[in-house]
Amino acid sequence: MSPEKFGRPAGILLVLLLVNTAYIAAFASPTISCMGNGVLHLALGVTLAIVLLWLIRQMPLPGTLFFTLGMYPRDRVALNQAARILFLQRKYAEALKYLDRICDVDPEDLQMHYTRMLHLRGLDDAAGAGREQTLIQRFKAQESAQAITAKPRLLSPENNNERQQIHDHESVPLNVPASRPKRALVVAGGAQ
Amino acid sequence: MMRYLAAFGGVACVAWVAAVSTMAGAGIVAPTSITFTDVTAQAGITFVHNSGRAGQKFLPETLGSGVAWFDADGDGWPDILFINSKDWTPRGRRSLPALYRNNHDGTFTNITAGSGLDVEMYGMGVAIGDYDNDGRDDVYITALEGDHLFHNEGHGKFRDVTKASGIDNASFGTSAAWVDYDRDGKLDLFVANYVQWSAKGDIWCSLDGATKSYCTPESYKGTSSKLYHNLGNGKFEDVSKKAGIADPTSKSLGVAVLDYNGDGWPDLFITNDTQPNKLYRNNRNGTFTEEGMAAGVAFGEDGVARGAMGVDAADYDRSGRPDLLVGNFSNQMLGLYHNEGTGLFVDEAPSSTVGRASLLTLTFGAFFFDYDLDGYPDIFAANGHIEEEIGRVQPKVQYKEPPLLFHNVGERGKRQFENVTARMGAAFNRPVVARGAAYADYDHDGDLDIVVTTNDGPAYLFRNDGGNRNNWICMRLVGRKSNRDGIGAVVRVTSKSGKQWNMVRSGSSYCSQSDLALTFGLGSDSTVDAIEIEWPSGEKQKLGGTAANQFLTIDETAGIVGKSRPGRN
Repeated sequence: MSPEKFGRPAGILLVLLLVNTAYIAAFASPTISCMGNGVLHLALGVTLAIVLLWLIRQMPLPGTLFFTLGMYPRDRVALNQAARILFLQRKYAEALKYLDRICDVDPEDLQMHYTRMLHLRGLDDAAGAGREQTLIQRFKAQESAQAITAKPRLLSPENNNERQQIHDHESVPLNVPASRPKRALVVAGGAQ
Repeated sequence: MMRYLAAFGGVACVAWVAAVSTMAGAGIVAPTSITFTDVTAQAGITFVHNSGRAGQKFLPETLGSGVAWFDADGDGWPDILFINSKDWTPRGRRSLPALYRNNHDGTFTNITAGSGLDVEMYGMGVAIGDYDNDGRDDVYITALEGDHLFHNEGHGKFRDVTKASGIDNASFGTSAAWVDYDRDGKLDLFVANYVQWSAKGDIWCSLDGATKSYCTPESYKGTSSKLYHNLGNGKFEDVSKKAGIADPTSKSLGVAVLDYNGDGWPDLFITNDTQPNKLYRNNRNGTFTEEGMAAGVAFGEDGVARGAMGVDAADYDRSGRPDLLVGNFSNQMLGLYHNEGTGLFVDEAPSSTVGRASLLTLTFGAFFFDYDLDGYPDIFAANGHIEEEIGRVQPKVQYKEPPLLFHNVGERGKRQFENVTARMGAAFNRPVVARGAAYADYDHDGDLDIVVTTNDGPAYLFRNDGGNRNNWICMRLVGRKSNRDGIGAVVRVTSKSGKQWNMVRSGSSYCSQSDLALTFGLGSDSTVDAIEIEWPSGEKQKLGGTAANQFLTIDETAGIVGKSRPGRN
């Protein structure tokens, strides 16, 4: 899906253009005629704006997200968002770098595993995607938990979805394949 | 020097303006002369749905019922069947489904009484298909206390054959679809079932801790959907387990039939409410393999199941592959899954107008249809929340919500939609508690009209005014070796502006059935260069060119057997 609205960046660039023009005009040589000076500086500013626009359009991530990740490089939410945006752009391999960074912070991050599975499918890595699918099934909350625990919770209000001997969760045993990456091996060890 | 500077500055300014206007997405023009006019009253439709609510806040009261367009009396014009629920305890009134006969002049006559469909039930959904290949469309209605199969006896009369058919589904059935999954020429039946609920086992839920509110489905256990294999002679066999589609955790509300991997065999996509959606790949041997998670259609973008309701499948970008549209709960936006052709789908809603505009709405009925006949499928979403008091706890979310209509800006060669709801007229934009939705060209003017049902309220018929300014071609298929309705047949149309295709399909949307005839928008193309049909039997048919703006009847063996022009505008 192509980007549809870039109203805010356009506004920012307009301001940049005006600032740039004013800046150059302030330090211009007085020997250049007034009109020529204005046109020249306007042209320079416009050219700069076009270049900036072009550069921004080449960026895979929105500026705000880029900025956030610069300040908080281990922010899982921002990293997941970055990977998600790259998925929408079909930049599967590039996104895996962001997902690796999430794995360093929290190897059990469900969204990370889900997005990684999708990216690996996009890269036609069936084995890797299958491994991620196993991890998702391992880490995700069971959707039926509330219904399964309904009766015990009614009888005993201190019970919750996590506290349930009746839990017949369709959990997946973590059989560690030989091809598993180092990070994922750590995950398996921690989870067992 | 001055000239040079002026020229340079001028060129730069023009380039800058062009760049900014491009980035601002300017220049997208949607058809402005099309409106959907509310013609419910003038068409003579007075149906009002009865959810049976009487203060007990039973879960089924939130779901509403569906609607079907089909030719009940064999006159070639689409009639309407509204499904109805009923009072939990009799209150001296009968709540019946309503069958409206098309009078061919823009009006309808209620012919329910004595039709055989005048059976009181807590009805939910409807699917239309000629299961016995006798040339008349039969009716399957899902109902809380047990589904019904009605055989079409002709002339608008129906006979309840549920017991004799061997179908026995009293599992809170919702949407259903006829599909010839084994391609034996007989229509089989898929029925989506919701949760294990009974009035006796109803659970007390509350928004404020003091008064009872409607429970969300998390509180109830799921239940398996059903697949019935058509054995012939009016008999069906429950093959849900054998076929691999039995999943007791599912809480299904929608079903779409599609061939997502292009192998010529129909696959099934099932939407689940607070459970992962299921994508059943047809193994071509009577069994299915579930691929939802691997395909990226089971969950939302965060890997968590959404509250999915209605669904449809169509190729919205002319990639040659069917994509998916899923209606979801409020704060979850529509799902618009693009089929990448590798077994993977990419949900493009979050990065598009479709996602942003549908974030707060709760969508039940949803489908692709080409309302402006430009050759690219557009999107309609029927919205309405389940909880009357939702505005108290979530001020931005309302109980009554207007529908959404997205125009496919396909001609720009981009997968891009534009929200054109506001331009469709005041009546169309009226907030309602919509549930079922379906489309058909009821007035035979070439463009597609919409019928919407509301929960515990009136139904609405919206006439498409102006859609037929573009050219079109409409086809109704008649199978011979294949099932009589041609359900599952893929039709490819070639015209000057390119190729497009669609599949005849039952099911889709929410609890509803659109007309089985396929309408292709041709834009400004005045002729169709070629029509190719791949029938479920495997038969491939190639037909020559024909003029636009016609209704064609195409027989599997005889080719075009009927042509007619629009009846009225």
